[in-house]
Amino acid sequence: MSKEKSSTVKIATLAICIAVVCVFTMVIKIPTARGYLNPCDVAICFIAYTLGPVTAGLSAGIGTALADALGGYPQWAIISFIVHGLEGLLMALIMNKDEITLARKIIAGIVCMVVVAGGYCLLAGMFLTGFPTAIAEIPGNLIQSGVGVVAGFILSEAVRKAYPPVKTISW
Amino acid sequence: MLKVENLSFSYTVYESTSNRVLFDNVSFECGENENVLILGNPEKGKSTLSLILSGLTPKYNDGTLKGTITYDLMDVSTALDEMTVFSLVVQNATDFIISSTVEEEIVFPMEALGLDKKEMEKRLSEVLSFWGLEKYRDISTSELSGGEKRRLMLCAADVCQSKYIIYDEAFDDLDISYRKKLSQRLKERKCGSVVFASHYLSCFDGIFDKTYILDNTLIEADEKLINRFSEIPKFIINSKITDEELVVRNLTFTHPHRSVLEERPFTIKVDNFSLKKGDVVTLKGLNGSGKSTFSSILCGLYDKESGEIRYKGKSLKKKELSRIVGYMFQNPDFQIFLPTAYDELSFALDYLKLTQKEKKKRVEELLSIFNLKGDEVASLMSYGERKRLQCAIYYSLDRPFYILDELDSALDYKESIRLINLLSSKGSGILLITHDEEFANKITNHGYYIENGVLYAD
Amino acid sequence: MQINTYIASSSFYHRFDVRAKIIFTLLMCISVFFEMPLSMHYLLIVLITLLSLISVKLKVTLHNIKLLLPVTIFMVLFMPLQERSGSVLLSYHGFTIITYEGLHIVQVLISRFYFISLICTLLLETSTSRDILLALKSFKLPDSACMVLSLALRFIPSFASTFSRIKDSQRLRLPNPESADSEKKSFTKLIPTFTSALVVALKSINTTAAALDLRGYGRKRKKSEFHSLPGGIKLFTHLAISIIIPAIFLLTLEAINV
Repeated sequence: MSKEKSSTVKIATLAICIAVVCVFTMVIKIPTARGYLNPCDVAICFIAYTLGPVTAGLSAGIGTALADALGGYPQWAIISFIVHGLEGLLMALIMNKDEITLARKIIAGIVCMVVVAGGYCLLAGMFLTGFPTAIAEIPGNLIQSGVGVVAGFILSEAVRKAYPPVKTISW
Repeated sequence: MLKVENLSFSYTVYESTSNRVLFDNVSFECGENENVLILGNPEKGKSTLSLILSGLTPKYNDGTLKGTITYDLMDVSTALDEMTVFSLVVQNATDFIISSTVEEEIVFPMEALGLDKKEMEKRLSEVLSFWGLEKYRDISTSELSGGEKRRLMLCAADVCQSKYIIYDEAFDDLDISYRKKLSQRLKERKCGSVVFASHYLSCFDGIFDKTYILDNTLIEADEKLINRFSEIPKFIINSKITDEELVVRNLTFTHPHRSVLEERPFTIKVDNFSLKKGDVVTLKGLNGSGKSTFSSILCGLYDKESGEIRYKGKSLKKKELSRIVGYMFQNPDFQIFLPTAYDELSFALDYLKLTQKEKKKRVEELLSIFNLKGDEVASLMSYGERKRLQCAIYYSLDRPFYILDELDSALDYKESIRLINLLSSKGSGILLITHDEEFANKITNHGYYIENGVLYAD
Repeated sequence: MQINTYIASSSFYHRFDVRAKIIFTLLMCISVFFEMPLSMHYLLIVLITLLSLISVKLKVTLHNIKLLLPVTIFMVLFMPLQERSGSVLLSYHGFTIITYEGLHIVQVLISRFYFISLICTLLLETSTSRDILLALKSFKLPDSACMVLSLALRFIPSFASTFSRIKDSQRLRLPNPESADSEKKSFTKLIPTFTSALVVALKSINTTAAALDLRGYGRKRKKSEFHSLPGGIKLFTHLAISIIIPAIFLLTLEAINV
């Protein structure tokens, strides 16, 4: 689609992506010290892969923050917003090419894991739980985002095949 | 005067050179106090035409549109911008709701119009009481039933007080009292109205100044044509009815979700229900009466609270039920996830452990029985094709019983009957959920209806 | 899925102006990071618990506290790692387990965490999402951003129910549907459900955009507002209270430290 995206389409895209991230975050919960492990990285990875940096950054940040707020963990909302927003934005920037090579995917995946694990550790360590607990959370976060990224790439390919026009949605 | 001249529309099919032509050479007029009825089978482009008349297609959907639409000499995009020239009552209410509560949804267009607060309050309470939604004012829109959503759409259209209203299947989902209200309203002829419908309802008599049938193009219809349009082909069960039956006794179930409305929780009560293998039985009921909840219990999605479900002399548990009863959801998109129709069907056959060659043969058989093209992208096929694909998947599962949810709302009578026949041809028992009384009566005189969660034999 | 965090009641904190409440929450969250004696931390815990009991009653308060337990346990478990070089409180065969300083830090961390968590939860439990959106609007958040948020809030519950419908229907199309719980275990088994859910979501983008247009979003003419937050003297006093309390608190701290 070559025509300029109208603001209504942008708003609709963003709102739906936020809802997708939020629902993915809230749908499956594995309780841990940080609250819960969840497949939010699957959704974020998919959006970063297919819908471009603006959508990815905003929907990842707002979606996870909303999920925290609605799920009874509002104290984490701001941290989630920063960490996941950054995650979505950086991944999308790395993969913001027509042809996405395996190397780029791997870099994006590593960036995602570093940002999530490192970001939570740093921010939670400074502001909420103190560093020992925050550091103890690193392995869990690494596993969650690692699994999330791999599943996210599988899913992105599946969706691209199942619904080819998805390529026209990004802006 | 709403004036439509030489309209033709074709969908752009993604990455394909051939566009799907929907209709051609459509012209009609609707005066300021006139009522126009446009009949058409599913898939013939009624909803698309209603969106075109509202200036939303091809603005938001790819396609090629030729011809002109004017409202009182104003072109359609200006009219859309004005908001008070025409209103649209959409068919697919669920996708068109944009607010979290009923009140916000109705207020939204009034805020956009810049009305003052007193006027908004006045119009809001007027439409809420007219469409009986007062007590739902602060209720979340996601909790409404189909009929309530339809009335919400009517409210949101009414508050703009436009000169023309386009009703896309607005009578659908409404129960009798609101159908009467709507037809009474049309009779008063306070504005120009274009009504799209896939069935001619008895309450249409004497309301409309002009009636058309949309089928590739628009033809003005007289009584004879309308009768022919409403004809339902004869249905004969072509499989043998056996004595093996699915029996439900004294079943109760309390719905966990719809309890926010302060009233007592919604309860399903089924004293006596049976479905023989090879038989076709109908289940009628208004929206929100419990049809899909009952179906979900039958196919093992929800666990019953008390009572029993028996088959072949054995009382069945939730897990066993889902292998015996196949529940075909209304929305085919929920079950499609692979790239092509071929992939979908071979995925469904995977469990049979066939050789590559046998599997290929079986898939091609299924494709030809259900009239599908194997290499087409499944999610981009037309709604009717996706529905057929869904049927083909279930057909390959060989379940002893099938529940078909609102099959006829997406397909025309002939196609619905063909699919029912196909699914029952291997001796399966079929429970057909429909809210089309005439269709149900034509299929069989053996049926059930459900009201406020209680099931009765018809 | 229930996404409404609001708990209806008419306590004074419910009636407190939502803008003032947001400012109050923010200021208090910042205040707890200032240096203060442990007794002050405990005082804050008592006060916020009291506020919670008054506004959302015992049951909800207990539920909220229960959600904080796992992290608290972790913080206690990792106490030995804090300030290892401090003066020994507990040791085993000459090996330092807990130091006085470590114990102190953990108490500060837990009470700070407890306070921040509870005050944020209270904000959401005593204000409707509509009021919060209106407040954001009055803090000069652009109209389009508010629209995105309110649209997202509308979609979350319906997408969640679509998601579970899809999960159900994917299970039903399998030749031998297993029980529902076994599929929760693996992400890969959810891929078909995820794929369908995403395709359904993406397909609805254009319809939603059309709906926004139809309902009059993005017109040039000036919008009016049906709901607005009350202004006037009430707003002024509430704002004043929400700033004065943290200010007094900080001044007291200053006095103690001197």
